[in-house]
Amino acid sequence: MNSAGGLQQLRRAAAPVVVLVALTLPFWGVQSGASRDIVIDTFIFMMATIAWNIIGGFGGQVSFGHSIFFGVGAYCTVLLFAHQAINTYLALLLGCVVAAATGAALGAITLRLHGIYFSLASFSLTLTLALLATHFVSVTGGSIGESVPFLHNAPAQFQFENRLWYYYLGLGGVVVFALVAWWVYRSRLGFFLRALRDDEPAARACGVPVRFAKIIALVLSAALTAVAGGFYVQSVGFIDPDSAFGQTTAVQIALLSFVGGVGTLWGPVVGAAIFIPLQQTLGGTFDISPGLNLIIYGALVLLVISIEPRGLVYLFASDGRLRRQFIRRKTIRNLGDARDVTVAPDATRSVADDTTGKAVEDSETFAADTVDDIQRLAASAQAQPARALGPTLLSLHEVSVQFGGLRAVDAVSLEVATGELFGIIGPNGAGKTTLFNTIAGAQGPTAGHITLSGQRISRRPPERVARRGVGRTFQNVRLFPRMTVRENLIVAAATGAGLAEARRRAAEILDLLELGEVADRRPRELPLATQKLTEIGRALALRPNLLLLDEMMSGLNEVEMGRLLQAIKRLNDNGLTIVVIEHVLRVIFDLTTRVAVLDHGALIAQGAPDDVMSQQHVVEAYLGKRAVKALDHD
Amino acid sequence: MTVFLQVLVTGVLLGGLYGLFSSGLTLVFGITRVVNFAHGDFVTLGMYAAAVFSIDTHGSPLWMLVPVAIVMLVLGFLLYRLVLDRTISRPGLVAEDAQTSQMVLTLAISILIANGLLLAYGPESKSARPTLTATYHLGGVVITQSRLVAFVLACVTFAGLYLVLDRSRFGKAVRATVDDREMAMIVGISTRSIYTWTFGVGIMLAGVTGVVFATFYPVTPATGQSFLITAFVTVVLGGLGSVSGAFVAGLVVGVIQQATATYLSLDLQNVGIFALFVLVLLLRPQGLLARRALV
Repeated sequence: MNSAGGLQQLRRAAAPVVVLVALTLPFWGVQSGASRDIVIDTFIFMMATIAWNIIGGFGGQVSFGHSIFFGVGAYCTVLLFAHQAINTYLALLLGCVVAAATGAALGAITLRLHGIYFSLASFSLTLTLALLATHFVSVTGGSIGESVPFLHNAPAQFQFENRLWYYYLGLGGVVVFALVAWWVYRSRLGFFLRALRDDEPAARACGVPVRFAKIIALVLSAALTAVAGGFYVQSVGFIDPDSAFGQTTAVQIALLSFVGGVGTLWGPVVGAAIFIPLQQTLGGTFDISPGLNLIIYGALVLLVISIEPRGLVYLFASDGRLRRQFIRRKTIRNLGDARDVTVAPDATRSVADDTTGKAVEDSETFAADTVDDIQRLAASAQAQPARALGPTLLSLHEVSVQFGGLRAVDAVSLEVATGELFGIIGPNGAGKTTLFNTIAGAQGPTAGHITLSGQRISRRPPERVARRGVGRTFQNVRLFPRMTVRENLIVAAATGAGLAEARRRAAEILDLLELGEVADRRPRELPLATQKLTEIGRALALRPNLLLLDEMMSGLNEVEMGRLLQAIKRLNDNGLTIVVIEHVLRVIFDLTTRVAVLDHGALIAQGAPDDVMSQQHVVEAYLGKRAVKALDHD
Repeated sequence: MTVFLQVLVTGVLLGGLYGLFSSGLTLVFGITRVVNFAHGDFVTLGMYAAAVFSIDTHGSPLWMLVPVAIVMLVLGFLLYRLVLDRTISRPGLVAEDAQTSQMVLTLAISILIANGLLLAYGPESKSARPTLTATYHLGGVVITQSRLVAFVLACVTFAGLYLVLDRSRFGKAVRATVDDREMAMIVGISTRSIYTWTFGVGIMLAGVTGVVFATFYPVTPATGQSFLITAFVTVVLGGLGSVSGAFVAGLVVGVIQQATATYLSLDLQNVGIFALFVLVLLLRPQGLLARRALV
């Protein structure tokens, strides 16, 4: 704990120290004109890559064409001034607007698709712009480029005779950009971006407006990158298609963040601070053959990424190389502790083990056990205390889902009342999860419609359904792996409230579900049962009217099941309507007042659990006719 | 009309080669989920090998087909095992992080190849000695022998790839891996060696295409760049991850490029295919041939 605290302090002091060093650098370090220009270039690309990191790092939408915005900023700044006599600062601002609009258009086309399309499209667009800028000589000066009309010293037009001005303006720019990035990171937008980067379907199920968040981030990132481009052209005095839109610039902006540490606040700063001076020194100061400098550059990128795929600053992260040894020791100790207190050893098995293990069970014994269970449980199940149920909350009208030739859900109609705890059961492949996906909006029904409190929710995107009050969990836990338990909850809470309120709500839920101890751990470090509880918590953070729980009990042991059962009961007792899909029949009998049985997509029975489970065709659907016959003969 | 026919013929003949190297790119993406930013540079490598060989020995550049294929296959193996695989097998790394860092690694490889060639051969363009120089006239349409041979070679190579993927045990294992990686592992397929092989084969296709290109196309260290954008458009047009889609899309891209070059301006030929790219993304992002299968 001590060393972590020390590191925390070090981290807090880092930014002011670095800025102080940069402020005084011209007086003791960087004194020659050439070295000062290298630092100015470093600042410019640092700005660009900090801006890139907002969409590429935080949002995980990797652009290999941020030179689009860099070049647009540069060209607008110089062309509007040179040809239209517009004030340079105003021209720079207009450049931002054009870049932002370009970003919005590019985002609207590509960001609804998988991230890879954005990468490919951005890269292709920037090379296309390079071709266009070369072709239209009369506008852009063609391949020769366009120079900034030289005014000797004109601060009003962003031209300074003393290059220290560029130095300090560049430094100021970096500080402002870093503050913007820091603010975004900590804002609701930042939470949304990190969530959708980690798991987009899960983010949507939490109500995160994913497309909107991506486009806003891209527009912001584009506008900032354009500022860096405008700054560049004023500092260098000249722009050509290749240095504006070419592959080198395109790749450069992204690479700096990658080698520094993608998605972190310090990564872009570190990446630019090391790699730009390196590249420029190799290219300019030493007189080496063309090509060799970039070979060294490429080789270093290769080396860094091979050592730490996420970039340099991750070397110091809690799971980075340098601290992994330390963590390993700590984790082993913690695991030991945890085992003593609550968690049974097999709870730490991975999810993969659980799901594959379950499938291979001897069908005969399974059949016998299940029938035993049913009879025993039906006998012991006491009548649930009758509780006044409210009006209908969820209702499905003839809902069908067709996948090609397969009818996964077949004209299902059912109603769930407010305050009810409703179960959906059925053999594997009966369409239960598809039905959940359809209710939650992740899957559009091919026919029929669904209403929540009388309002139609079918054929709405999942994030809208979530914000209407449908919270859900997934069959295979889908938490945001790179966020802590607390942050996982904050994401969902923040879709309906401000961040401060979301934090409060997350804290409440952590309390309610007794997750306080693991609040700042990442899901992967936790036992499956805790992950599942966190997923329930995340759904609760939406303040749902309806909670959909998909096979919560799979892979859990008796003790964990008991705990989870209690938690679910408590939520229902507090008035929350819950629908569960469950294979563990004890849970169905213990929890639910009513169940629906699905088989081959169709609803084959509905009613009180013990009634339903004693119906011949339900047992047959579950066990197959042969198994039932075999049992009858016994 | 003759001009149009000429555009069509030239475009299709060139498009065969686009289809061939794009099928390599889409194969690698379909299986390893890595977008290989160095793919165009492997085409360049093949072109240099053929051009330099033909200049030095006065032989036909096509002699280099088999040597380049073998060297590229081995190079692909080595690159995958020694460089790319390291990020996947890193414990505790989220899959998306591993994939993005693999893309960055291919970018670095691209920088290394392009600048290595610059260092070795300088920025001037190199051309193989003219071979297959005969021309055929078909009702006003001119077909050069080298392009015709290139197209035939592309078709033959692609047919070989298709048969391997469709019929062989290896092909079945590859398709199983695409469908469900974990399941493939469970039934005993070594997905790591599948990844290694597909990466090798993908690069081999790029290298082979390069050798064929060299018969009629000059090469500079930066040639790979323009091929890369062509390949990107082609694989998206064909449906990301679909090998036969990529080949057919290559023909379309070839024609569109020729049409833009002829009717608009030669230096804007890639703007034409970018416009096509945007159209596809808007209207049919799953690709022209809406098949999700690998072959």
